[in-house]
Amino acid sequence: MLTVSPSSATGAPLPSSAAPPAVGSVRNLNLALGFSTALVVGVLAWVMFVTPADTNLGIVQKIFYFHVGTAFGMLLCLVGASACAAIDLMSPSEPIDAAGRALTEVGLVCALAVLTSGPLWARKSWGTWWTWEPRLTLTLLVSLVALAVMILRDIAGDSAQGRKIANSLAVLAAPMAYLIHIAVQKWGGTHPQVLQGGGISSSDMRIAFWGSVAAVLAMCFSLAALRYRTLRSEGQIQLLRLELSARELRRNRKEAA
Amino acid sequence: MTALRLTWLLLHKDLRIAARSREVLGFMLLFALLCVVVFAFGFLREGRAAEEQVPGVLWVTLLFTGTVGLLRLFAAEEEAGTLDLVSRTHAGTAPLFWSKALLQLAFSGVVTCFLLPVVLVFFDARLHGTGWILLSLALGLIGQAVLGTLAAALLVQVRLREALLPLVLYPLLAPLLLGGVKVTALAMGQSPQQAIDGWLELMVAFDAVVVVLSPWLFGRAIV
Amino acid sequence: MAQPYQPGKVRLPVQFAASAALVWQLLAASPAAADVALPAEGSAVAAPAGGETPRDLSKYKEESVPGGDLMILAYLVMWGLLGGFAVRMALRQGKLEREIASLQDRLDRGA
Repeated sequence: MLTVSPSSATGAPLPSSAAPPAVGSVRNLNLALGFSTALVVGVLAWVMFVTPADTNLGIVQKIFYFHVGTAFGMLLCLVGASACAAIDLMSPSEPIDAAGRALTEVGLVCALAVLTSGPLWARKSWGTWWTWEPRLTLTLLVSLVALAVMILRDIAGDSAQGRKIANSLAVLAAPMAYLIHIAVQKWGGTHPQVLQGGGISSSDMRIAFWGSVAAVLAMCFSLAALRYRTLRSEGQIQLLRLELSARELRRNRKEAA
Repeated sequence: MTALRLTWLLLHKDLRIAARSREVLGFMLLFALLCVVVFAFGFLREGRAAEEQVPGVLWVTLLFTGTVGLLRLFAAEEEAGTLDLVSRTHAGTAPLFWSKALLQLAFSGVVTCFLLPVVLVFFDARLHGTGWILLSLALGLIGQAVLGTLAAALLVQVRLREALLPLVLYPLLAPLLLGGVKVTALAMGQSPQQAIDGWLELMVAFDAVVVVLSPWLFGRAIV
Repeated sequence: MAQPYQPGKVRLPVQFAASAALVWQLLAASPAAADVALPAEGSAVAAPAGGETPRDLSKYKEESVPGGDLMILAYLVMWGLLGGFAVRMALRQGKLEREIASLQDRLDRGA
């Protein structure tokens, strides 16, 4: 994908590329984004106009569809990020590392969405903004860990050391998240007001539910691809800068000789 | 020279440094005392006895004090610039990791011996189920020292690490903290044995995961 | 340095602004909006005219919580977050690509 290889910095001729090298296909990415936006709008229209309101909870129950969708998205993104980190730690690879970073950030955005839509729903259905209910607690703690990984990576910069550090933490986060899950289950288990399933009672609701899950996952994929592309472009800029300064050095040496 | 002997040598060196200056341990003890005093200001109403707050105060103070120790754990190597050298023994990075983890464990063990009576006196509480509480403290301190050593090592060369260490460490330590507080509260409330057992199992599982994973990640990330 | 017009850069933000507007229209037209417009029974909570924010949980009755408001807020925050992320990344990508082009240009001219 990269048209400039590190070896070119050491004297090999650059590939003659007149057009700016593209990382991934811009058209495919726009297509994916357009598709997921259309899917989201369609499912949203279905949820608003076709799906009946829940008999017990009323209109607020419609938060549920996309709330669960973003929760799925968060889970998948963060698990994927952890896997990418593990792979990169064992055999370093730029694309895998960039994918891991992109997934971490998209997972974090999803976590924020879950953590705001959750309390809004809970306010109506449980009568309180927040309870230390297992799933809420788990989401909060896991998103804090993901936030730590992201901040660490940003602060440690693009050094090889910083990459290893952040990826180690991301690897550690996976089994820890499982332990946190067990712990908060035991801890918050005394609160019986967990609403199971959100009360899917009609086939319209089922369509809305799976449709919104699919829409959010498609959106997550597109966003991750978008972020992946910026990360790869940043890497490309670094290589180009390296190449430029190498040339300057060579020219200076030639002039001095 | 075996890995065990190397570990002992490194630990011995750190203990001798600690015995000579007594800085870190002294500050940890002082900090623990201050924590308890501040918690007393926060929680006590008209100086009444507040036994129900003892578990929380005890474990949170241990967490905070442990962080103070962890921030200085690799100070000697860092200042002398020898972290690279001591981590490259022929026995790998394990000796360095375990010597540091044991040092942190020793420090927090001393702090706990000091802290427990202080909390009990200040909060006017009486200890029930001492055996279980001590067991949970041991499990909690092991997990915290091992995971904390890894976190401290990861952050040695990172900017802003004083702020980052809690951010990295506290969410990951949540199961241990929940377990410790629960066991202490249950034991003090003379609850049935089964309730305590479940939480102790969780703490053992946490320690097992951490003891296996941390040295491996340490070796991967440091060298 | 003058930048040539590149259509791919502009489209993404516009796409998202348009879809955000569409979502807003949908939300406003949906049955949920009717639910909001209805005066809730506990009007003191639904419209805190006195400016007092109720702290006491018993003041909130199940029926008096405006569910439609909560739902619209939840959806706005959710899509605001995802859309904001997309727009930010699209803008950054535009900047990065301009930088890549200028670097490549310098390299080509130097060669």
